Amino acid sequence: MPVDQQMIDHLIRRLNTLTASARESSVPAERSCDVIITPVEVNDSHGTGVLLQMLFGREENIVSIRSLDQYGGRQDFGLPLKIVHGADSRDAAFARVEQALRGIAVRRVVCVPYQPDDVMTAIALQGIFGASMCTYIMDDQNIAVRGIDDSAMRELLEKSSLRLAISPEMRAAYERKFRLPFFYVPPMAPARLLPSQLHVPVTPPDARHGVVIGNLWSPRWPELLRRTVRNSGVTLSYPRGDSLAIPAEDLRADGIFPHARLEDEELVRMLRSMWFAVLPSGTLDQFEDRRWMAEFSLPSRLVYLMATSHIPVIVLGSRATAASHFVEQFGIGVTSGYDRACFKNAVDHITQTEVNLAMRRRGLLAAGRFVDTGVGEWIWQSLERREAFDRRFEDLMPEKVASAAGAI
Amino acid sequence: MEPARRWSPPKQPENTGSRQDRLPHQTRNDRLRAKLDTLVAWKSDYAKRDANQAAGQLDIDVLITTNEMNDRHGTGVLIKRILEQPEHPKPRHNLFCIRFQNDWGDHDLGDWNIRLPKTGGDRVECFRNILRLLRGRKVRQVLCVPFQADELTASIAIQEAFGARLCAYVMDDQNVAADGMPDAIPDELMREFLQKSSLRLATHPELRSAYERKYGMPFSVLPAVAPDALIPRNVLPPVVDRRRGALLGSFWDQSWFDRLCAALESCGREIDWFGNHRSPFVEFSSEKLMRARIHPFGIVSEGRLATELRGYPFVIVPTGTLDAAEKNHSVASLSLPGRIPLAAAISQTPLLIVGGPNTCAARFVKHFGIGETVPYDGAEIRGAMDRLSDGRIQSEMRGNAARMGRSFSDAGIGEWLEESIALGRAADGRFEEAFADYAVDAR
Repeated sequence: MPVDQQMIDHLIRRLNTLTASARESSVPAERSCDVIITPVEVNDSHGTGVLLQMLFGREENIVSIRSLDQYGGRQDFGLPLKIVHGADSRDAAFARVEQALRGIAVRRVVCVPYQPDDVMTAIALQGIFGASMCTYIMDDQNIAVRGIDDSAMRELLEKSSLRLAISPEMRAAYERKFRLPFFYVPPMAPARLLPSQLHVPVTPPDARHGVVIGNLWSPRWPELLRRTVRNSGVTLSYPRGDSLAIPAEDLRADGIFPHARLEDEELVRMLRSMWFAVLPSGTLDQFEDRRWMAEFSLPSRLVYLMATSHIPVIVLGSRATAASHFVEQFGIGVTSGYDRACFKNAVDHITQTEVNLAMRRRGLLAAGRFVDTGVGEWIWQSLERREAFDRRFEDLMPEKVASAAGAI
Repeated sequence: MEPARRWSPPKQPENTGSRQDRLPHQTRNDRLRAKLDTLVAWKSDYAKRDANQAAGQLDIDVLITTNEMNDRHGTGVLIKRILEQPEHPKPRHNLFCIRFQNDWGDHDLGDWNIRLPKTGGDRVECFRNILRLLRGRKVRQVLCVPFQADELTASIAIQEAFGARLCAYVMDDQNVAADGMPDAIPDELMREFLQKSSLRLATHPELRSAYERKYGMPFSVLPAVAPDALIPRNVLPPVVDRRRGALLGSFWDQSWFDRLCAALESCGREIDWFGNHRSPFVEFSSEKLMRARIHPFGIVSEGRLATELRGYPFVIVPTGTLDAAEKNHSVASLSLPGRIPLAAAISQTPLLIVGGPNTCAARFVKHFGIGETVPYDGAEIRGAMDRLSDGRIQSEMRGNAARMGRSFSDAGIGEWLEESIALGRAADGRFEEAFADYAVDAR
């Protein structure tokens, strides 16, 4: 039978399309990107979002993958993708990730794990692209709470070339459990908001009026706070207090004055004019329902506001929380139980002019260690080396925690 | 083992127009055939998959090799022997064979088989192909015989995406001694592949030692085993024949064939050749065969091979020289042709290895006392033929081969592999004992 060459060539082209084989029909990788995986949208409504924008917000070619919508999809960071695996099989998850990232060559991955889906997506990305991966634990979802199971967490950590933890306590706990080396990278504050001079409020220190900072993650904490402040003679401003779902008049009756959320510059200005801040945290007792957060997570707001305003802080709750350890390590505040008398004593102490100024000076000295300049690049360089690029954060580890973790 | 062949497409004429325009008819037809093969394989696979899913999800095992599994090359013979054990208590009913090139034209192992397109090292594309092929299946385990990069990447993809247990079975080296060669498997890929393997196997101690030394990971030995039914239970009597000898196996390199023919010309023996004499890679000139008095019989069944070989005083097995002229240095230096233990086990006939004294083949026959090694030199070969034809020497070697052969039996080998993969280590010490005190070159 005579061969029709044109027909054969046409057939080859059609078959190329049908079989989607080899290089003829596949779309070449268009651009190299880095992927940041978080549970929810990256925006300025929560600490993780603020920190990630600080670290990587100005970088080009970032793909931001989340598994949940908590802020109506609001995000101003990278190319946003939402990938949900649910109960799907592992191969289905890999196929989903491969399809979602088609046309993109993934170079590096930073995973901030919170949901099992975040872990699965990270493992798939690392497998498919052979990308080097950094896991940055900001909130515990494995040790004090069973959000991510051990095998998934172990696989994620073992496949990560660099493992970071947001607090010394988190680092020590994860190193102890998984027997893998971690490095400490604390929350940061933006360089543009860091004053080079000490700020001292102009109002008299005996005003006994402070400000609430941080998020009240547990439903118990607002009640504990109100009970502590009520009839103490101390009053507190509470930016974001309007989001507590507690009638404003009830809060005001307790001495807590809620108002709307302030922009960061405005908030910093306000804090610089006040003598102390109050950070509600966990009790870590048998009633504690946010142990995973209070014990291990260092509130990014605490570091941010300490560095930008030098304001001394009273941590409410247990002295074993990460927040309490932080203020005591740097001498920038004190810890008080949720007890009115104890709280009054703490306020009395912290509003003594000399005590207050000494704490502010220590805050000013410490602030330079928490500036965001180049920290994103520090993470990339550390990832390449598979270890901390330098000791800038390791040197911030409290000696006791560092020696406990040093067994790894 | 006999390695997968490297095939080069016919040279194309200079570029005088579009790529399609300059393709010769033959090349174009080849491409069309390849495309149709792929399409048919995908389609038939998916049809079967749908049927399987309707009947409930089945666990499958995957075999990944360079080319087709059949009886015409060493890797195919051995893999079939291991995976097709009739007495296996849990036979692999759902074996999916994946390969990346067609060298032989037929494949006869497993329930499904497919040739996937080569990706040229493109990891993402390899993952995509594997996911498209296997998605929805439950992959229990993967056995990979690595020779080219694609096989390793595909194994990694299945291990990663399906959580399957991976077993690496190294038969031919394309990494340790292949450094700098164009087809060498990159170290980084090999390391990842080995790290992700629950069980790492090598066919012989030299290969195991070389990989353990380079990668610092433990390997177990799974040698080329012989069919238990063909292994004689007694020591066979010597064959005193000063006129004939046997030649076994295939040639990996043209120079081996040419040099052997030249050397045999002066030996004065008729040589009966059992092996593939129609290779696409080596040209077997009938003139050279005639001058060397080599009579090709082609590939014969193992049963017949056992009967035939027992009737000769010796069996010639050509191998590399490892000298400056050696082209396949990596293959020759670290490979042990599977036909050597096979021939010794099923026939007990002494082996006459022609090649270098430092090859794995030479060390193997020396260790077990089942033959001797001489260079590609007529006088040396003639001398060895005479010695091996001596009744007393032959009896001693046949006795050694009888002891060795029992250790290389394939009885229960499928179960052994299954259990070893599950355990992540050799299920028992049968092969460690077989190679006890084996001298591994310290290179």
